[in-house]
Amino acid sequence: MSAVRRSLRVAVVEDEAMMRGLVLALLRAQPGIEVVADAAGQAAALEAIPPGSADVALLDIELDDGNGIALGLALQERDPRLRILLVSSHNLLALVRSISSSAPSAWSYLSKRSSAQPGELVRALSAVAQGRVVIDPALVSRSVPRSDTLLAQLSAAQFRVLQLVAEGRGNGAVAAELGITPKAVEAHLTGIYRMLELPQGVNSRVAAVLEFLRQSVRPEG
Amino acid sequence: MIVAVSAVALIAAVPAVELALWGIEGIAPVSHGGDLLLGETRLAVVVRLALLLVAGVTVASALSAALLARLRILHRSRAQRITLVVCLSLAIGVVRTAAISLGLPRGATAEFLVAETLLAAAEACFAISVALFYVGTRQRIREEERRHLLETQRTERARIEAEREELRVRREVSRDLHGGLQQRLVLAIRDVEAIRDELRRDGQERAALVLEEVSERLDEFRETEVRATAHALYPPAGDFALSAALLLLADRLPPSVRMDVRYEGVADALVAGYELPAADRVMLFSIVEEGVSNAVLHGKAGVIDVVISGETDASGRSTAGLTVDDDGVGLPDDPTLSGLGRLRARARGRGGDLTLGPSPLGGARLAARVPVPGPSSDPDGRR
Repeated sequence: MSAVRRSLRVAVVEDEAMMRGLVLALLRAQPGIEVVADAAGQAAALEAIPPGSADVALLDIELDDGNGIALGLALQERDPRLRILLVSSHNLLALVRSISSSAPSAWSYLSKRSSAQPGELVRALSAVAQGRVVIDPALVSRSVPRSDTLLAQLSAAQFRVLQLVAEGRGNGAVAAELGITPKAVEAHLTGIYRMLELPQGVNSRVAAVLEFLRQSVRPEG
Repeated sequence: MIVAVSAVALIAAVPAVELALWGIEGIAPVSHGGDLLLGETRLAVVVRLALLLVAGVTVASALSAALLARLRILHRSRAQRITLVVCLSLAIGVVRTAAISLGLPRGATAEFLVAETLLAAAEACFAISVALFYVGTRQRIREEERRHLLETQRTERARIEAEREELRVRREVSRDLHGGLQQRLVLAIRDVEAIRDELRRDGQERAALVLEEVSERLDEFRETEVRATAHALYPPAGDFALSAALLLLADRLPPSVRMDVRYEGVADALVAGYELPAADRVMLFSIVEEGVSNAVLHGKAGVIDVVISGETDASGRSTAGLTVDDDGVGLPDDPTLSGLGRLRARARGRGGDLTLGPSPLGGARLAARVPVPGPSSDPDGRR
């Protein structure tokens, strides 16, 4: 255990040169973040990101020689500790959710709109590095529980707490956002886990986010 | 092979029967007198003669069949063909007559030998002609079939190629819409918003409100129009497995609708995964999408059951089947296929079909069958 806190190692895979350039410039300017690799395609990424070299892989879903989902699966198969943050201009949340239920660790997902905002991307990366799942705030706020689900039975306050948790916020940030105490947030979470019939444990938070995604839809228009 | 054997049998059988008749009815030349038989019984002579004949004619026929094949008789002109057959028949006749005279120690009259030779030649000529006609017809049919098969394969390859190319262009345009047009709109919206803020700071609230409306309209245009067009051009099934694309479809439905997808038969191997060429995946996805949006928009459905199946028949042909059932209000009395018409034409164009009818769930059922390449038959089709 090193006493010095190591910086967060990020690998960036994005096929559009302009977008890649913007992201790299943004991340390199952040203290505490180190860009260890960048690639434009799937084959190049598999070469540039050997197991153990990065903490988080920031992957674009649309790649010229494949897609970020297949790449993420391949990378995590070699290195189960690698966390995946997917970025796309399509809404592919349902795919990410279905992969997450079998992947070594749940994947996070940002839309290109949000990730174009510097603060959002940096916040998401550090949340992911802390083991949380981050779902794009715009998609989370558009989410509606499906009619016949346990999720639909949560109170409005519980649903709001769960939405913020799905965005990858910690209890402190949720409390600040809602103007309640962190203790109250914890109480809400306990209630949410019970309502969604999740086992209490270290993974409840991630499991609750996955259930949130599974039992909700994001209608268009 | 069968033809050759039957031709030989025919040529050999007729004289054998003829000989047997001689023996039984006691006609010339065996009936000339007891001394002809040289102590042998009449039956023994007949049998010996018959064996000799059968053997001789068999050899002659086999040789002539080989000779005719070697001379590529089927590819020659009519006159050449007739000459060849007549010559050969005469040769066979001579061989047979020679065989008969060997069996007759006293010999026979010249008239008998000539008549016998001509008779045998006529028989052989008839048998060979029948065999040739038969073989020729078979060969023509086979050639016709081969040409037809080649033609079909060429058409099929061209179709696959065209579809692949169409899909490639669609993908490109769709990505341009997403990457280019959409990004540029985002930037334009930011510019408008910056001016709006500036106006607001200067106290020009009315102008700011107008700009606010403009930016909202632009954003809506970007969000709905551009996205929808890009999606219609290139649905997610092009880049992902059909099962993944259906997950995405279910995620966009209204919250009151439950959509379940089931896979039957060899669907997993054949239809649901990446094995299927992208054009086929997109087609199957478009059919399901059309059925689901009809169920939601017109049928007011609450439950939608999608079943994807795959089967491979004994001859190795694979078919993807799909049904979309809903519990909605069902079909109008005179259902027009509208969007489905184009998909039906596509399905039929490749030997499948698409039908609309009542569903056991109470609403409408959309059913389609589309022939697909078998598992891993076309590795190039993967995307």
